[in-house]
Amino acid sequence: MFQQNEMTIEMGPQHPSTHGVLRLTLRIRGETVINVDPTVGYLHRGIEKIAENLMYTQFQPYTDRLDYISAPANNLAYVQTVEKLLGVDVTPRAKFIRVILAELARISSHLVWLATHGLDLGAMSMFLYCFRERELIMDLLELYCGSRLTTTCMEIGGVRGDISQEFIDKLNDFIKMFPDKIQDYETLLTKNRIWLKRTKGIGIVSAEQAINFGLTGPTLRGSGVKYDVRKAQPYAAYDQIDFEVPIGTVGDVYDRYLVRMEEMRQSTKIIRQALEKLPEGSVRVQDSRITRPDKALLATSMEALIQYCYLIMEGIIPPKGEVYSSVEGSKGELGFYIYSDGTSKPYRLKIRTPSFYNVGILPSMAKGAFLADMTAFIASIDIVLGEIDR
Amino acid sequence: MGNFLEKIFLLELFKGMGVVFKHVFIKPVTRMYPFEKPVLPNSSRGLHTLMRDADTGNERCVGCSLCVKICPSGVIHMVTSKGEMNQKRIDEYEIDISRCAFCGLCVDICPKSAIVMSDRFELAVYDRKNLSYNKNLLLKIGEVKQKESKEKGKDK
Repeated sequence: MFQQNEMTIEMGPQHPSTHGVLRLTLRIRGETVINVDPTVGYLHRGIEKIAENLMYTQFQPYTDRLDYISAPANNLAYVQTVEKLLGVDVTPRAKFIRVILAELARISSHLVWLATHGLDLGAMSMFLYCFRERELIMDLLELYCGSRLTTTCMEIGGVRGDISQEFIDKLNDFIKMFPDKIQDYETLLTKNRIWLKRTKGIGIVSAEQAINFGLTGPTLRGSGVKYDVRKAQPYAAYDQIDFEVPIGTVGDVYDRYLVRMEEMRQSTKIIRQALEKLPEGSVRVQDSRITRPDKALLATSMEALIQYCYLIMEGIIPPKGEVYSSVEGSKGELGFYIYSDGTSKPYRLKIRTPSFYNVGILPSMAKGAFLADMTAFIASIDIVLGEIDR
Repeated sequence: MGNFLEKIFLLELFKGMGVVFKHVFIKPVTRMYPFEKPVLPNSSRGLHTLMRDADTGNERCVGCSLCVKICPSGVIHMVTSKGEMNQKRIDEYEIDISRCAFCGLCVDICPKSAIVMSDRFELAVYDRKNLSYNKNLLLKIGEVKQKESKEKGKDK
C-alpha cells in the first residue's frame, strides 16, 4: 500500500497552526504532500440540537459561540432569520447600528486572521500589532454591550441598546486611525520578498473549482468570483451604503491576503458612512408579538405587565413555515435555516457555516505542495473550528 | 531601473524595519494586569448582584421567576413561599456561576431591575462549591456596588 519513502503523519488536533482543533492526516513523500484528510468534530457541541429545546430569544447567546471571533455577525444572521420568519422590518437606526457592529466584527476577525497568518509564516511583529488594534475593537464592543467576545449584542426586533455618544466618539477615533495601521501592515508584508516567496503561486484555487466546492467569502473572491451577500441580497442597511467588493486574479494565498486587506479598508469606509447616515429614532421595532413593553409602564399598566410576562414565559411565537436568510460574515456566507411548527421553539434549525465548506478545499489545495506550505493554506482559508463543528 | 535598485538594496525590507523601529519611540500599550486593574465601562457584564431599594433598604426582587425562565443555561435556582401579609417571600435564590454564559438576558428582562451585573470578573476559586452564589452573598455584592456607584456619583 505504501510506496517507498511514503509516510503518514498527524497534524493536530492540538497544533498551534491549525487554528483550533482541526486534525489533518497527511500522507507525505519526502517533503511533498500526497494526500490530506481533514477530520473535524473535536469541538462539536450540538448547537443545532440545543436550539430545538430553547425559545427563540434564549438561543441567541449560543450563536456567539459559533464563530467566536466575530460574534455580532452571527447574532445578526440569527435575529435576521427569525425576523424574516415573523415578517418584521426593523427600524432604520437599528439597521445602521447592525451594520456598524457587523463591520467591526469583520475587521476584528480579519485582524486575528492577519495576526495568525503572519505568525504561522514567521512574521512575529504582525501578531503584536494586529492584536493591539483588535483590543480597541474589543473595548468598543465592551462599551456598547458589556462583553468583549461573546457579545449577544442584537435582539429579535432590533439591537440590545442604543449607542452612546462616547461610543460614537471612540469609533470615530478608531476609523480615523485605522487606515494608517493597515498601511503599516502592508509596508511590512505586501512587498516583503520573504512573504512573497511563502505566499505567491501556492495553494491556487481556480474560479470554477471555488464555485464547485461551495466556497464563499474572501476565499471565493480571491479566485476572482465577485460574489458578496452584501451586494447580492442586501440586508440591514447595506443597500444604502457605497462600497466595493475586492477580488483577486490568480486565486493563490497571496491573492486571498490582498482581498482581506482591502476588505478591512472597505469595512472602515462602511463604518464611516454608516456613522454619517445614522438616522434618529428608536432601535426597537414596536410589535406586540416580539417587543416587551417599557419597564416604566409595568407599575401602572396591567396590560403591559401581562404582555411583558407572556412574552418571556411563552416566548416569541412565529407562524408556521420555513425560512433561510444569510449574511456575509467575515469568513463567507453565514446562513440560518429555521423550520417553524408554530410553537415558541424551532422544530429544526440548520446553520450554514462558511468555514465548514471552506475547509473542504484543503485536500485539493495541498496535493503536490510542500509540507511547509500547509500552514499557509490553513491560514489563508481562515477557518474557525467553533463554526465548523457547531 | 527603479525596480532593479529596489531589489538590490532590499528597499522593502528596510521600509518594514523602519515600521518596527518606529515602535521603539511609541509608548507601549501593555497593561501590567494583576498589579494594574482595568477600568471597565458601566455596562460591562461581570458577576451578578441583587440590588436593594435605595430608599427603604428592602430587596428589590419580588420573586417573579422570569429570570429563571429566560436563562438559556438554566443556572438560576429560586424557591418562593407565601410569607406574612400574603406577600411572596424568596426562600432560596442561587446562581451557579460555573455554567453561566454571562449573556445578560436575566438583567434585560428583570421587571424590577433587581438583578444587575457588576464589573467583577476575577471569579476563580479553589473549590467548585464556592462558584454557587446564594442570595445573601449576591445582596452583599450589590451593596458594595451601590456604595461604589454612589461614590462615583452615577447611580446605575
